[in-house]
This record gives sequence, structure tokens and C-alpha cells, in this order.
Amino acid sequence: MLSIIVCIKQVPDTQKAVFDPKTGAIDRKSTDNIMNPDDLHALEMALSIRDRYGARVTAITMGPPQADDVLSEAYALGADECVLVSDPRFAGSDSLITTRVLSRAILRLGAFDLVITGCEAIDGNTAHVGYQLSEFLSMPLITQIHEFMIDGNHAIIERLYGHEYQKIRVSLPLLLSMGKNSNRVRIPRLVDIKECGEKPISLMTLNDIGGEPGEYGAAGSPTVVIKTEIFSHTRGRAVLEGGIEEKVDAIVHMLKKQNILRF
Amino acid sequence: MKDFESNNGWTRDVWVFTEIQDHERVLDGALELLTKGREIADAQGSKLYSIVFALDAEQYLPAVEQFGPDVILYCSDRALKHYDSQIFPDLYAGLIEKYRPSIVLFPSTEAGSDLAPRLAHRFSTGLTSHCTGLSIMRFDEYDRSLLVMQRPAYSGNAIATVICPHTLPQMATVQQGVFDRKEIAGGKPEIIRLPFEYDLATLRIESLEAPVRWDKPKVPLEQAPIVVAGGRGLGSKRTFDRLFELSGLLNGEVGATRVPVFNRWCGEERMIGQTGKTIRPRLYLGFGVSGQIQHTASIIDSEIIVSINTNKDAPITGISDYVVTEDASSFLSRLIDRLKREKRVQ
Ligand SMILES: Cc1cc2nc3c(=O)[nH]c(=O)nc-3n(C[C@H](O)[C@H](O)[C@H](O)COP(=O)(O)OP(=O)(O)OC[C@H]3O[C@@H](n4cnc5c(N)ncnc54)[C@H](O)[C@@H]3O)c2cc1C
Ligand SMILES: Nc1ncnc2c1ncn2[C@@H]1O[C@H](COP(=O)(O)O)[C@@H](O)[C@H]1O
Repeated sequence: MLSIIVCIKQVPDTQKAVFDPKTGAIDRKSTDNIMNPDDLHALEMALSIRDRYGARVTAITMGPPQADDVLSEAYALGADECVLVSDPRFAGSDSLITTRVLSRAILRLGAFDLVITGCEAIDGNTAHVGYQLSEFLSMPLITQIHEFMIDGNHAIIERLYGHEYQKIRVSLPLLLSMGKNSNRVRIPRLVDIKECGEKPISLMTLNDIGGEPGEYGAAGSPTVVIKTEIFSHTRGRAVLEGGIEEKVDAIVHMLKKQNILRF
Repeated sequence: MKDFESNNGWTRDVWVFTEIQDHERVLDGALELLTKGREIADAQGSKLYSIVFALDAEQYLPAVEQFGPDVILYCSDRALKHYDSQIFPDLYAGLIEKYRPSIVLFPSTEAGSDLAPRLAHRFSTGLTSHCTGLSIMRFDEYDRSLLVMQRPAYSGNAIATVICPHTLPQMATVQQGVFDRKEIAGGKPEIIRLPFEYDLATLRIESLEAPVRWDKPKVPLEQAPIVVAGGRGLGSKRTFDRLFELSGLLNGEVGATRVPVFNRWCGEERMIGQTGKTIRPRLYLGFGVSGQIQHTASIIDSEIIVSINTNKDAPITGISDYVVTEDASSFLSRLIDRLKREKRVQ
């Protein structure tokens, strides 16, 4: 049976977020936390592979204790096992250090065939973690997938590559990154939602994954954010009056005046 | 974080990954980055390197020379025709190891977004992605000058300023279209050809079918002088498609918010915004676009912004030079009719 690990992250719902107008920071108290949207697609990929080929799906997240909410959601959607990687000493990790934590935790979980991540988390928008896991774990990462098939010890994948479609064959184990265009996310069944609160979530801390405290958290992170500012812009706002033809006139006139329309 | 030794063999040089697009031309974003890199190198009195990996790489060097690098390092081989996520990082890491630049810049294209985080991992250094501002500043507390990187934060509602004070190289990826490009006359860079040595038998990804060309814009959106963009307010693919008629008349390109892309009215390469492209056309026309920050942050440097929206208070009106309160598809078809008539008259 295949073993699949899915990396999911809890993020503030940035689309509905409340922002502090001075600092531009998200007001975390008044903003809901959700599963990172791309990660729903990552989980869906794992579940659909399980449906077709049989697999054991483990969801893993690194975050504060309350990040176990996304793991309960993962159970509701159908994950077989969930792991929370959490330690106060991980706080303030940038993308490189997040990947260090995740990769070490993943290696502790035993042998696997696939690790699936989202493309990008909506809070940081770095899209680093997939590529860096590929480096840490020394295995290829495939993105922009349309079709996925397992053929013995290989995967056969159709994907978009720049403007081009590509069909490739690659041996397992392997990393996949999923975005919103890759699949359609299933809706959890009510009975699964009821049960998911009772399923056990295993915890891993720094002591479990190994390494020195100085390698993790803000202390280990190479990048330092020195300032965050909210920004705004305003413009002329000339509101065009009259009927639709008059407005067309006005725009055509402007295009000529600006030397954009040269006929 | 332990500090690097300042004289550990690291130079102050600035590197630009000079990406070749569609194996036919130097990526515009790379030329913009060379211009920016020149400015940064000059600010700290160091050298600017351009790194070119391609098939028949020599053909691109004259174009690259125009943008002022002191040194061009290039490698030419069939295996470099397409970006490869094993070969490129291996070669690039080897070069960084050898030449020790302290600043390494990449366009945030698919290739740059793959290459940069991999290298950051290999050198255990920081990477700031999708930067919109780069400069050099002296930091007394670190007793050195550092690359100051600005990038959108919190879904584009804010700008974060980031530094990488303890490790080298300092790395950033930059959206296309963010910086100007400027040719520099009379530069004669040193040109170094690197041998291509790679054991292709180690490649794990095997190609089964040659890539097939996909429908794509005539010029990349970032370069289009006129962009007519559509949003949800256009209602259907059918009306969205009429944007192509308008862009044809104006000699522009069609762009979109995320909504048409998700609805498959058009391809992803036309998406403008935080997850798409940053544009700076002379004219931006937005049809049925509400103007969420994830979209508008990437159009704000357009010279003229016109919005067509039924809602006179839609957020986009706040950043519009001209506000047209009309049904997007009616206004679109009237404007097309009118321009056709204008064209015939001449
Ligand atoms: C992390 C993140 C990244 C994102 N990245 C991007 C990105 O890169 N690019 C992007 O565009 N979006 C992005 N978004 C989405 C963005 O927040 C908005 O949802 C999106 O830009 C809205 O697109 P829209 O204006 O087409 O649709 P809507 O917001 O739904 O607006 C439609 C507008 O059309 C108007 N309208 C309706 N009917 C008519 C009519 N008949 N005639 C004229 N006007 C009409 C309405 O008044 C409304 O203003 C991102 C979101 C997140 C959270
Ligand atoms: N703290 C985390 N825990 C688990 N997975 C993560 C975490 N951070 C990032 N990821 C994974 O990496 C992907 C890309 O995130 P990012 O590089 O932060 O944009 C996400 O979609 C997740 O799948």
C-alpha cells in the first residue's frame, strides 16, 4: 500500500481578514483561521490516489497547538492519521526553517511514496516550502499536474510546463505540489465531521525531530522582517457623465489625446 | 543566528539569473533585473554578473551586453534548452560556490521560483520572493551594507521590508515589470564560457511526450503597452472573448482578474495580480473588475486607469483616472463599434 504524507498549514483567512490600519498586520483575534486553500487540493490529491490505488494518508502540520484544528478538518475529509509538529522553539521560523522542521518530522514518520504540499500559503505567499522540501528530501518535485497515474514503482504525470503540456515518467518517492486548478475538493460527510474530534492527533516536538534549538525558530531564520507598512493609492477619479454614447466619446477622445489611438 | 565571516571569500558581487524565455529571447524581467543589479553593484562598488544557461547561448549574449554586466558567465548545451530543476540548481550552486557573489537575483518566473528556493536551501541562506523594491543600505548594528528587499505582505495589503543579515548570499526573486530596464552604451563585459559537464544518467524525470505549444499572448502581458482586462462583471466567456476584439483594435493584450482564469474563460498566463503578473502599461481598461487589492497592487503603476463597472463605488474607482458607470458588456461592444468606425474613417 502506498504511503502518502500531506503538508497542510493553518492560515488566517486573508480574504476576510481584519487589518490594523496602522501596521497593516492582520488582527489575528478578529480573523478566522482556515486550512490554506491550496492544501485542500493537496489533501484531495492524496485522497483520490487512495481511492484509486489504496494508500495510507498522513496529514502533517507545523504550528502552534491550536493548529490542530486543521488536522481535525483533515480527519473529517478522510485522512488516516494526523501529526502536529509543535514546539515554542519553532516560533518565528521563516520558510527555510519551516521546511527544515517539516522535512525532519517527515523523515521520522518512516518510509513514504509521496509527499504532497500546496503550491503556496496565502499568509506568506512564498511558495518556497515545496521546492525546499525537494532539496531536503532529495527527491523531485512536480508542479502544475493535470493527470496522475501510478505505474508500478513510477508515476506517469501530465503537467503544464510554462506554456507547454508535458508528459513525464518519474520513479517514487516523489513530491507533488498542488494548486487550485488541479482538482475539485470533496465535501466532508456529516458523520465524518462528527467523529473527527475524537480521533487522536500525534504530537512531535523539537525533542522528537532532533537538532539544536538554535537551528529553529526566529533564531535560526536567515531572513529578518524589519518593517511592515500598509499602503494605499488614489487617482483622479474623473466620473464620466451622460449616456453611454457620450461616455464612449469621452474615452475615445482621451485615447486620442494621450496618443494611444493612432487611427 | 551566527554571523558569516566577512572575509570568508565572499565577494560583494551581484548576480542576475538571465533567463531565456521559450528558448528564443532573453526574458524582459531578466533585463530589468540587470538594470537594477547594475544600480546595486554601483552603489557598493562591486561587479555585476549575468548568468546565461541555454541552448546556443551565444546568440543571446549581444542583447545581454547592452544592459551593463561586467562579466557574463554562460553555458551552452542541448540539455539547457528547457529549465531543468535538477541540472540548473546543480550548475548554479557550483558557480556560487566558486565565485562567491553576495547578492543573487532571479526573476520570479516558474524557473526562477524553482531555482531560487533550492539554492537558498543549499547555502542555508534567506530568500525573499516576489520583491517589488531592492536597494542597498548601511546597517551599523551588523557593521555592513545589506540588500534591503521589499515585498507585498498580508495578501498585498501591506509592504514588508526584509533583510538577510547573517548569511550569504542574499537572495531575492522579482516580479517581471516591476523595474525599468535601461541599455548602457559601450560596455564591454568579460565573457566566460563554462564547460557543460553533467551526468545526464542521474536525471530522474523522463520525458514521454514532447511539450506541445499552448495558446499564448503575442507579447507577454508585462510588455503590452495597452491591457484590456476583464473580471467577473463580464459574466461569460462569450463576452470575455470580445476583449480580444478590443485589444486587437488598440494593439494591446487581454488580461484578467483571477475570476475569469478560474472560470476558464482564459489561460492563467493572462492573470494580473499578486498570483499573476505585474503590469505597467500606458493604458489599463478594466471591465467588470471590482478592484480587490490582490489585483490592483499589480496595476497601480499603469499610466492611465479606466474602470467600467455598474457599481459606482467599486473599490477600483478609487484608483481610476476615468470612472465609467455602465454595464461592462454593453460598453465594451459600443466601444468596439465606435473604434471600428473610427478606423474606417481614416
Ligand atoms: C492570496 C490571494 C491571491 C489573489 N491573487 C489574485 C491575483 O493575482 N489576481 C486577481 O485578480 N485576483 C487575485 N485574488 C482574488 C481577488 O481577491 C479578487 O477576488 C479578484 O480580483 C476579484 O475579481 P473580479 O474583480 O473579477 O471579481 P469581483 O470582485 O466579483 O468583482 C466583479 C465586479 O464586476 C462588477 N459588475 C458586475 N456586473 C457588472 C456588469 N454587468 N457590468 C459592469 N460591472 C459589473 C461588480 O460591481 C464588481 O465590482 C487573490 C486573492 C487571494 C486571497
Ligand atoms: N507550517 C506548515 N506546516 C505544514 N505545511 C506547511 C507549512 N508551511 C507551509 N507548508 C506547506 O508548504 C506549502 C507552500 O507554503 P509556502 O512556501 O509557505 O507558500 C503549503 O501549501 C503547505 O502545503
